[in-house]
Amino acid sequence: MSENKLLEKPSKEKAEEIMREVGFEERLEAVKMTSMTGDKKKSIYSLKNLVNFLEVNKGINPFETNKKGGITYIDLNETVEWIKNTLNDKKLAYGIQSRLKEDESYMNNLNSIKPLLDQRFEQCKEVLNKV
Amino acid sequence: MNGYMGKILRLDLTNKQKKTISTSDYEEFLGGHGIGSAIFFDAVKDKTISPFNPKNVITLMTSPLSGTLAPSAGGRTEVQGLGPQPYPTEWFTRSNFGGRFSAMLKYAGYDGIVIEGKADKPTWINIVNEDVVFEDADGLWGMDTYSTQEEIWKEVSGNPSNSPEDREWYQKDRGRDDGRTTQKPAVVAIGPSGEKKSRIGALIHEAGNAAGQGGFGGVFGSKNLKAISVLGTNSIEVADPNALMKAREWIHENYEYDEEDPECEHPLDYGSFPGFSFITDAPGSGMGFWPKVEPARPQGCLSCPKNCRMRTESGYGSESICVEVVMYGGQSPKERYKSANLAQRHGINVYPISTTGHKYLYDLYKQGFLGENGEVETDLPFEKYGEMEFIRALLNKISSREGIGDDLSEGVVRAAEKWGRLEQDLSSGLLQRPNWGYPQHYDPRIEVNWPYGSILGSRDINEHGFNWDIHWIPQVSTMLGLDPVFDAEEVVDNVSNAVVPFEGNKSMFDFGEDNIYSKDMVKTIAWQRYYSRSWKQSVQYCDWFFPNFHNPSNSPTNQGFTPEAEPKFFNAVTGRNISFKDGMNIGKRIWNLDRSIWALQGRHRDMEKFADYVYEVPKKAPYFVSSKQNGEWKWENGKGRTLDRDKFESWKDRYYEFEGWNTETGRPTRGNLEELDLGYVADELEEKDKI
Ligand code: SF4
Repeated sequence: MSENKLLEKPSKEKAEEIMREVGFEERLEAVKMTSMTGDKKKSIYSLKNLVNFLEVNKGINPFETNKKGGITYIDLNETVEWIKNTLNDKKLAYGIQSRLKEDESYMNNLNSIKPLLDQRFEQCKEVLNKV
Repeated sequence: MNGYMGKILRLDLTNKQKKTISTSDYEEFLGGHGIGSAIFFDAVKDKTISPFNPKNVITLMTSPLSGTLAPSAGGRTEVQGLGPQPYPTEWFTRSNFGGRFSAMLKYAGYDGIVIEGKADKPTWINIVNEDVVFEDADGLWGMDTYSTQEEIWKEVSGNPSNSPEDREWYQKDRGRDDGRTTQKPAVVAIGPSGEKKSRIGALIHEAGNAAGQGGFGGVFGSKNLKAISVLGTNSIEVADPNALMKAREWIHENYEYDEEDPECEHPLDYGSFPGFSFITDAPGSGMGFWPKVEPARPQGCLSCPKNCRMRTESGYGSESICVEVVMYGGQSPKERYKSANLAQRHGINVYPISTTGHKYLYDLYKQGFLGENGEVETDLPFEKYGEMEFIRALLNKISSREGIGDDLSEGVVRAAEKWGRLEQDLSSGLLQRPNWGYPQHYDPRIEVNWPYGSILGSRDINEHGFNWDIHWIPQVSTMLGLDPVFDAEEVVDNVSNAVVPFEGNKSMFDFGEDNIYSKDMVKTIAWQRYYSRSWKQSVQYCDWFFPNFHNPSNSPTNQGFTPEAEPKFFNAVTGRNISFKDGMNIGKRIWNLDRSIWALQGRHRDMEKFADYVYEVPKKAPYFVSSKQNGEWKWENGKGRTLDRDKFESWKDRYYEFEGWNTETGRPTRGNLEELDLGYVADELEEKDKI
């Protein structure tokens, strides 16, 4: 899949499924690392949570937080599985999977998948008429 | 007594009496924490009382460097007493806040304040030099911390507004040389949360200086004490002003950011990711990414060159730093900073309700345990989690003790215990509170200097000295996919060069899986405990600036300013001639005094255990620390580690032995206390059968 290619828009039903908030047992665990507070576990319950968690500051890479900020960590393989099996968005999962490179750093991998996550989130919002 | 004002104010709220104690009686304990512990030991006969008992004594202590040009030590205040926050035992504990309160207290003529008793009605204390008045706080009770301070400023200064044309000389009946000033008084206040005796009630000074840990806001509330205001116009005698100025120039020229290039984040040239401002001291480093959002300028505690905080155009988050700026993490910056302000207005300690607090509540809601139809009923608007509406409602409930707020005002851990969830959630790690009910900070399974120091003490240590060098900076670069910015061996060399009296022992910084239980790690912990108790909490060099081991401003060696700077400023101000090692010995003495107070409260080695998840749930995320593998220093990834229960118990044996404590009980012994000239402390332990 090329860098800029959008995923096909989901149907309304599919978008609803992708955007739903999942239950406690289905959550994805993430970690926010900051210099002041150390490591803190976060629970990700939806695509919105995931996009917001990784989005430290709009338009810039998630690490680049000017003066400080932190590192938003998710296990990337676990995330692919979660998107595939829990959100049931196989296309997004496949898109992400194909961009991940084993010998790349966490940051570079995250940078390469973040636009796709954002695109999917925006698509779903559009389909569901959400601002 | 250069640097000291010579007297400590002792205020009895029950009888509305004021006395002074001569500072020289306690000078051997340096200042701040040391003097606070020594006074507490003498003043509280029964150390097993509740923190809310009127006989509990709270000390607010300055340092001989407060109010002087000593970098980062000019404006900090150490707070001690029995604290209601530690779980399950309400240990004698400590907190500290920055700003300018301690400097003003010195200018008023005092090295500290000792508070005892309980006022019969809401009271605030008005100190203007030698005048000390117990004022009626009926009109202030119920007000938030910001409004309280504004009312007191008006009351003391007599000017009705802050507009320049109305600004008056505050003591206008005095001459210029005997006390006129345009300074506003420095006020420390509690909010509604403290008034309701919350165990997570904080003391707030100005916008963002908080003594949060310990629950001293609740203790003030239990004493009907709303605020203390101080206005002082005296000066501090400095033994050698020339040496002080020279020392300040020395530290600036060699170890601080370059004012020609204040954005300096060297040596990592990666966008603008921070991390290095902690060691290069670029101003404003504590405000996260706010400057992306609106104009802001650096701000700091009195006389601190680091100026790690910021004042923002909107006022949101002004002067806030550290955990409060990520309190409602994951939300928009504006909401995050608004939340920080809100918590500070309520006078709520941000840390226990921040990420690990509200996240836990939301997880319980998702399990159906909390909520309108949950096992624990609450109308908290969980559907608005992530928005201001949720955090506003949560803070209001805690502050007013309304509904679920009554449980949460006791702290999340005690609430979880009441709900019957504590054991299971500490075991699974859903609730990450490794020691004494305090939130997990740096990882207790890997960077063990942090949890070991915490469990041997009374709280989360919150001491970043080693942490920047041996974990955070390599962590950042590794996660960014860059080559490590600093070579592990170079860092370990620089850190180990500085750790007098154990200098040269590099194995103290080997955080490999086996070495974390070693005798070397005993020395790491002992060094940190002694250093913190003396230089950091008694002399009160700020944790964000001291100690300094590895400093890229000081090329080519990158060696930091510890252990040279600590005695340099202290001696210039006081005229004494103590060495760094002397300071460490005093720190050891203070540490043993604290340990004795905990023994008198019933501390036993069996209590010094972490929450089960630390031993049972492997670390899930990458976590890099310095470690020697096959003869080579590396940044090792501790992902997947747990702490070994038995090995940690054996490590405790080694630590107790090293200190000369009883390995059966973990308590100090007569021999070790007498060696530290604390025979009188051993007497009390013996009398109470705790030795
Ligand atoms: S480093 Fe920051 S918190 Fe510490 S004294 Fe300086 S300004 Fe205050």
